[in-house]
Amino acid sequence: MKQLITIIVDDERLARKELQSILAPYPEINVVAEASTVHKAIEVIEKEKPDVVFLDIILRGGSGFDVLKKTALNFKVVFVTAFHKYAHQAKEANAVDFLLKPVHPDRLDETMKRLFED
Amino acid sequence: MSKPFRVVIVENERLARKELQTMLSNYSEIEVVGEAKNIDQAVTLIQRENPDVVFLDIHMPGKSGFDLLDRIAVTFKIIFVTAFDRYAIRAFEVNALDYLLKPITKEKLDRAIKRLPNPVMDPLYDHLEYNDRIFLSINDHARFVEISTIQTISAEGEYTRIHQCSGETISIRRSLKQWESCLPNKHFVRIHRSTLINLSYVERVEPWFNYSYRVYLKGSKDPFTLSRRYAKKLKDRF
Repeated sequence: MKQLITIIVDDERLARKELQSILAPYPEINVVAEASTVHKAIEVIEKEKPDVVFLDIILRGGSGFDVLKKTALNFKVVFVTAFHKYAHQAKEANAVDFLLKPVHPDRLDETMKRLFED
Repeated sequence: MSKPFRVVIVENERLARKELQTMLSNYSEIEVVGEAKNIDQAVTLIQRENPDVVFLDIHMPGKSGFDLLDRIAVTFKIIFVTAFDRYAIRAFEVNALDYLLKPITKEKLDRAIKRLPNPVMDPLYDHLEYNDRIFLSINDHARFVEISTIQTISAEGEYTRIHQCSGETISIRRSLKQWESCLPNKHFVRIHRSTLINLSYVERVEPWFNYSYRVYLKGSKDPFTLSRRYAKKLKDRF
């Protein structure tokens, strides 16, 4: 079964833990690393070369969009944020999905479908 | 050269429609097959033309672009075109391909058109294992389906119907050929022009007329026909 190498980027530890826990029922998702800042996110992305990054928008040191600008690697992005006002920018960045916090597990089924669609 | 994408424009302002038409005429991969100035016209047009892509305004007199998506089966890619960024979150909910803020520029249009899927029919999935599961859209909801629970897949025009061992059936707009190319062929075999079965569910096979066979599946009352042509292929294979 194809597994997606996955990274979670969020500056709140509890938010990362919660996302890990709602991703746990999906054996297709293999969370290999987490990061809480823009700098650390870029570091783990360059190291792990993920298939998908669950990316918060407001981060210490910048934003989730800064992470995307500063790495040349190609991966799918799912934004996870409390602010719907960034949805347009997320669409411009060709994000696969845009999840509002708190993320409902049912909503994640649709995200999974889109991750495996291409 | 592959066929162009068939496009419908839904926009209440005549000048905006004309402007978008003009910009799209510069793309050889795009063919505009119709325009609609309101939702009712759009419903009729889309049902008639069956487009690949709809450029959809959001704010229209009386109804919004989202009302259109509630009224018809969405079998096309959606590119929203609007002056307002506040609906972008809903664009994600409906899995729109892009969300273009007016005024539309060539750069924005280039970006949107680059996102259109490869017009050549891509394989449905990479090769699947028997213990894999797939995500299917059923009535706007995504659902897991475990490959091992699929008993048969039968062709129904442009659709195929998946029959699961639970008795549930799912209709999906894919061809039998696409399924055949991705399902594990140790388990899934074509027994007829319009039927694929999971060998794990075969109870017995009985000879029938004209060198064909009847295949009985566990839990299924009615047999399936294994045609003469596919019977020979199966014999050669096994």
